[in-house]
Amino acid sequence: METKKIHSDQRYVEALLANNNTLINEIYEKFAPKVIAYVCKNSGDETAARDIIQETLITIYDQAKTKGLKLTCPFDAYFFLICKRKWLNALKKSGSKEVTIEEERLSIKDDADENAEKTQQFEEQQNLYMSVLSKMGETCKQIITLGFSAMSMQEVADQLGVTYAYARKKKSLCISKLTQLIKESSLYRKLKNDY
Amino acid sequence: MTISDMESEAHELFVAYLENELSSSERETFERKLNEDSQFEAEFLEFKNIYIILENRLSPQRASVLETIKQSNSNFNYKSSKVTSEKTEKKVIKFKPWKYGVAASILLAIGIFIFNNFSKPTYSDFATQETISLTVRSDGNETTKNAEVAFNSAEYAKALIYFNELLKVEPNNLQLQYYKSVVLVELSEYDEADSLLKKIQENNSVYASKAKWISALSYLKQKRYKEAKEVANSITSRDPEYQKAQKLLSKL
Repeated sequence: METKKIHSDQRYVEALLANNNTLINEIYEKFAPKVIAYVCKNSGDETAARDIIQETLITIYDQAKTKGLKLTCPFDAYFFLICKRKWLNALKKSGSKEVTIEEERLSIKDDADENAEKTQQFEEQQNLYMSVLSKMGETCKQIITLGFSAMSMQEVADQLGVTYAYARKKKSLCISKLTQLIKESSLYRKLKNDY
Repeated sequence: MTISDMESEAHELFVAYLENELSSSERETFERKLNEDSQFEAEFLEFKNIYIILENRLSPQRASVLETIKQSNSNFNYKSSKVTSEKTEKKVIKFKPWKYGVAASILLAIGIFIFNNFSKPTYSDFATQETISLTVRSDGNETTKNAEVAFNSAEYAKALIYFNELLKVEPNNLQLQYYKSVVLVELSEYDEADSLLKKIQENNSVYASKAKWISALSYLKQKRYKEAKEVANSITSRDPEYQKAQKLLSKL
C-alpha cells in the first residue's frame, strides 16, 4: 500500500479536513448526481440518497482525521462505491423483497474497492465505539462527552460540581472502562482480525 | 489487584500521556518503555486507536465540518438529467377549454389526496431552526462560541449545558432565554420550556412573539393540537411570525 501513488483527488479529502465550503460544494456538484440517480433507480429516493452522501462525507473526514486517509484512486469511483454499498446495506436491513438492483459490473478488486472497503471498516469500528459509549452509565457518558468537547477540564469540573483532580481521574476511569467494553465485544475482535 | 484494575491503571497513564499531562521525566520514562517493551507498545497503540477515534467523533471541530456539509447539501440542487432534456418540441395545440377543466380536476384530486395523507402537520414540518450567531454580539467568550456551535449542529443536550452556564452570568438576557427554550423543546423538556416561554412573553420585546411561536411548536410536538391552535391564534398580524402561524393554523 505504501508504495502506491496518492491520487490528485486527495484534494477533496483535504478539503473536508480544512472545512473548505467552496470545495465541499464542488463535491456535491460533481459527485452527488450519480449517487442520487443510482439510489433513485434502485428503490430509493433523493432524500435517502442525500442522507447517505452526508454520512459518507463525514466518515471520510473522520477517517482522514484519525487515520490519515490517503486516496490512491479517483474520488469519483471511491465515493460512489461507498455510497452504493451503504445503500445496498440499507436495503438489506429494511428487508424489502421487491427491490430491483442494477449491478453493472463484476470485476476484480481495484484501488477504489480497496479504499472504499477500508473506509467502510473504519465506519463500522467508529459506530461500534459510539454504540458502546451510548450504553454506558450517565456519569461516564457525560464526563466523556464533555471531556472531549471544547470545554476545558476545569470547566467540566465546575459544570459537574467536582474538583479538577476528581474530574480528570473520573474521565480516565471512564475511558478505561469504555475501552475494556469495546475490546470485549465480538464485533471488535472480528474487525481487528479483518484489518 | 484484578486484571482490569491493572488495565485501568495503565490506561490512566496512557490518557495522561496523550493529553500531555506527564512531567518531562515521566514522559521520557514512558517513551523509553514504549521503545523497549513491544507488548506495552502494542497495548498503547490499541488504546490510542480507540482514544483518537472517540476524541475526533466528539470534537467541536467535527461538528462544524458536519455543519458545512449540511449547508452544501441544502445548497445543492439536483436536477435529474431526464427532466431537463433539451428536446421540447413545439406543437400547435388548438385551444380546447374542456382540457383545462380536466387538468383542474386532476390537480384538485391530487390536492385532496395530499391533504388527506398529511392531514396533521408535525413538529418537524415547522421547526426549521435557523443557525444562530451569538459571537458577533459578545465576542471572545468561549462558552458563547460553544453554545453557538452546539446549537447549530443540533447537539441540543450540549447546547443546554452552555446556555445554562451563560444564563448564570446574565439571567435576564432574553435572547439566551429564548434559545434555551428552543433547546428545551427540542429535548422534549416541555414543562421547563413552558415556564420559560411564559416568562419571556411577559416582557414586551421582539422575543415575546417568537416565544409564542415556539410554544405553539411545543404543543404541536406533543400533539396537543388544540393548545397549539390557541397559541398560534394569539400571534397577531403585526408579529413577524404571523405568516408561519397562519400556515400552521391552515393545516391544523
